[in-house]
Amino acid sequence: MNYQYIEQLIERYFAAETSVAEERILRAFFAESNVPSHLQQYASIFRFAAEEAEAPKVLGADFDEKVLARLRAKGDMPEMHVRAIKMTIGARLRPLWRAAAAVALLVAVVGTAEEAIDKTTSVPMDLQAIEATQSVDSTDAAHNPYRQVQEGLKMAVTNDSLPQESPRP
Amino acid sequence: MKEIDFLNDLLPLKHKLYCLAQRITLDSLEAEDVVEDTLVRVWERRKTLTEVDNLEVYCLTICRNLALDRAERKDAQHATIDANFDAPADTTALPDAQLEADERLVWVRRSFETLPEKQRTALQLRDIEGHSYQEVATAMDISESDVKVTLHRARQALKDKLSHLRSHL
Repeated sequence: MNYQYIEQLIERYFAAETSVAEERILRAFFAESNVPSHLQQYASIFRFAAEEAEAPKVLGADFDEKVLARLRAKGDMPEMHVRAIKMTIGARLRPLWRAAAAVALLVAVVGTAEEAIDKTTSVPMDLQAIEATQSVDSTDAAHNPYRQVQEGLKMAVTNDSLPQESPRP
Repeated sequence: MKEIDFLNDLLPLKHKLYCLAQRITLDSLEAEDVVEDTLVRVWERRKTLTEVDNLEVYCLTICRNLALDRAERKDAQHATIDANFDAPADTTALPDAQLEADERLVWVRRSFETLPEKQRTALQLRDIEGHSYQEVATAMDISESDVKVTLHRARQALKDKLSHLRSHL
């Protein structure tokens, strides 16, 4: 393999004539394990730079606290409330939306349930009407217990017998 | 530039600032203090920073200046680090390839730390963080051609130190 390009880049690197992009190429080249022996001497320099760039982040949350405490002590707090309020508005709205959703759900459920109850109460009445109509149509009142009771009641009220009642509207 | 937000704009720079401060002071505790001072200093000056177009580079400049102030007070300590550094301490054990590679990185690190501060900082900002020549120049308050000369010397010196160490094996 021809390493002329890499060799040329290395030369220009030590002359500080390479661009950031070219230095990235060198870093990538030396990150590979199959670096030819005559270029091995440079590998550790580029690997060192690559490793340092990925260095573990030493300063953690305790550092943040320390700096913020110092600013607080100086009475020069960063205007974090601007950010905090922004967050709480969102955070406050969220349970509100949830509550609204819950209420909407409840209303929907209750509405459906009421409708269902209406249906269960109205359906038998309709059936009775249909039954009544059918029994009238068949003119077989004697074999229909409901019809018999109805007729009995009518007779009790009017004290008269109405054997041929017209069908209900 | 819009108004600076401490948590969003400044605090996330702490890792990069720490790396630079560590490179200059060669002391992790000192470096942490420098980062803290840098963030507080920049925050205090936020009202005057509207014309700063690259906040990160500005922070790097402040960080370097504060680190240099501290490093000046610790010059004696640097001398002892230099004195302690000679050749790799233990070359008796025959390392396998991985150990050897790790060891080489330790050499680079040690060689790096013996470079003058100006060269260490230039390498940190360019080779490790990947800043442009112009950004390095601004951060170090020197000309771009001075950056290139410094980088050239630093890279050459690092190479020479490593080949010197290799010849001692």
